[in-house]
Amino acid sequence: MKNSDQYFKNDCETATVVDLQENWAVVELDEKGACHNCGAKMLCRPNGSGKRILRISNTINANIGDQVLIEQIGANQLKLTLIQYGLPLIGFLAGVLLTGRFIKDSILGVPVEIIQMFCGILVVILSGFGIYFWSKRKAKRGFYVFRLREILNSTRK
Amino acid sequence: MNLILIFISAAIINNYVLVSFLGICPFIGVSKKLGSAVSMGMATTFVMTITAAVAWLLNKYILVGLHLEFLQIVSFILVIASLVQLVEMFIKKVSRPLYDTLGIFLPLITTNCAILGLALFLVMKQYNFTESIVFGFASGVGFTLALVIMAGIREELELAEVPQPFRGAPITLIVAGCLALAFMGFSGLI
Repeated sequence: MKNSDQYFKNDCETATVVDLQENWAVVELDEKGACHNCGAKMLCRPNGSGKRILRISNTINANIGDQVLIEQIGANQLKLTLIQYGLPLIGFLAGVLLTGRFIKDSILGVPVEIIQMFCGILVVILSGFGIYFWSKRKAKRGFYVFRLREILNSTRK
Repeated sequence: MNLILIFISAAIINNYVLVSFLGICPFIGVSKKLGSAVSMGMATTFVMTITAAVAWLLNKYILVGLHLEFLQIVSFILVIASLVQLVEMFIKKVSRPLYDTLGIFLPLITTNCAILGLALFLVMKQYNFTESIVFGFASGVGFTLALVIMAGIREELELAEVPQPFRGAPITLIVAGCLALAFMGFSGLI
């Protein structure tokens, strides 16, 4: 059997610190071998630079050029996922299905389906405001998904 | 009752990944960690549900209305790509930290053939608007279910002593085959 530390390290990502901003470290994640042949390689970089960049709270005092181990906090990621995708999804379903239940005929020549769709999208936009305020409040309280676990290769002598 | 049957049928009996073998790329690629699998599954469910609604409206009021049914595949691809971009822009505006953390899953959905399969299937099955949305949602739930089961097994496999020739892709494909066999047991339920 493998030991738990080896298992844990398999669950982490390695990255290099490229910038420091007050108490935050900007890190560039090392590319995985599986990425080389992936057709969507250039699409899955949120900032469009072709590099996977993350801004993480610098709790271990890392410096520019340090190679660091990044830990993903599963519970927080799950919570974020449910809020980010779950809330608009439930809103959309509720908007569409409830409108369909109460409105049976077209209004002013507009078909019921288009009214249902409009209501669904309206609830999605409203849920967007909810997510906006929720994430602002959580950011103030130091809620994060990734954290720096240890420095693997330090540039400091 | 009809909606419940559609839900069970799309999520379990005709599971996109394990029965129709659609969306195999993210199924293998994003099923290494449970957290990532749930995130990818939720993002896909969200996009699938909205795609089902948009594809139904597009098909009924534009393609069928103007007798342009031969443009179905092209227009659905365009709709899915635009929709994913819109959702991405929406999340980016709503919350930048959320986008940086989970936004990575959205562009990957553009290349997921299960979404195009969903749009084509719902036209073929001639569902009404509400049924189409339930079908889209259930397909996403089925996709998430397959991804989460696979991720759970792969996390356990990390701790197991797998023989050297079977490590990595071979054992993953064997597990996927076993799961597909297990899901075949649901056929004929409805």
